[in-house]
Amino acid sequence: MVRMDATILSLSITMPTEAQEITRGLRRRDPDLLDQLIEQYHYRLFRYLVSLTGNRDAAEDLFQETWIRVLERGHQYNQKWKFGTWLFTIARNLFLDAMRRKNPAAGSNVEELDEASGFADTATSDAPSPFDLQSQREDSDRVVRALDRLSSSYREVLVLRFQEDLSLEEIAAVVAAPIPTVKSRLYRGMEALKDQLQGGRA
Amino acid sequence: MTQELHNRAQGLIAAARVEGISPTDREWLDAHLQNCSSCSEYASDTEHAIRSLHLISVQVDPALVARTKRAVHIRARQLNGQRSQLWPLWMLCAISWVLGGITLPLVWRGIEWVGQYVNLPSPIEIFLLVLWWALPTLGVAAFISSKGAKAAGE
Repeated sequence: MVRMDATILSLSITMPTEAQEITRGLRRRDPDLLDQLIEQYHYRLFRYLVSLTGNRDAAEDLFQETWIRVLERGHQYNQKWKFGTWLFTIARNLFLDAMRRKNPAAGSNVEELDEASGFADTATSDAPSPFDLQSQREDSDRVVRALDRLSSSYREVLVLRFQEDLSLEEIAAVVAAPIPTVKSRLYRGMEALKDQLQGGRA
Repeated sequence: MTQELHNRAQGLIAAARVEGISPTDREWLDAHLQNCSSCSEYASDTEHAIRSLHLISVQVDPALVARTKRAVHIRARQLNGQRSQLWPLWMLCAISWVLGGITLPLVWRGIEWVGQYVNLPSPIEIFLLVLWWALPTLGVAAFISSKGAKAAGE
């Protein structure tokens, strides 16, 4: 029994955790590890990018760019955050860079970019957004439309919290904002989403 | 019931989903919801809004995933190739450091002799010695950064 315990202990010491394996693989720029990560995270990343950009084509471009950036900057991943959190941070930074390239006058946060990119205008128009087109079910369409009408800063924290199940600390890291700001966006975002959904139902 | 109680209940309903609430608050809220239809409706609307986010389905094109994997493999080969190309350069750099260290007394004597011959101030002699020792490294660093800039440009 004691021997078995010792074996389990030594296994738990020598067996690397998933985060350690990811760190090592990223440092080695191991393409097989990247394949596994792409398989594991592609849906979540794509969903986040679609919610961020509101545009399937832009999300596809950023999707590929994000994974290339993960490969290039893999040595910077330090296990402080879960891999998913780091991935979303990279994706968001690439989105902000792309928006700034398009509108050099735009600011550095999502709300300002929202206005500069005209995304909010597209979202509130009657024409279905590309995000709409991806939704298969009627309910899904209604929620997507409601979400589209929200400000990007609300939409993004709602998606990260309730779709991706990120903690407040993780969301704060992704959106580069203090925790109280994240909380306040979540509260306001929830209210706004409720209003939109009730408006849609009426 | 006062408006204050409804406000408290609605604040707790939202807080429960955003940051969590204490067991005491949870108990109070549950008791309040049993007796208050408007707050119960508020709670169910909140739940509905949050649950609705899970209804969104996004289709990911398998071709996009395959394309991305290919792009990542190509870039990984490029980067790892650059890394292996630079390895001999770093080795040469290390050898030159070691040789520089071994021959330091000899070179210092030579610089001193030249310094006396052309009457150089000693800070310049020291500068020449440091330069002689650091020159290969600086050369390699310049080469690597120019290669890096070229790769970034590509």
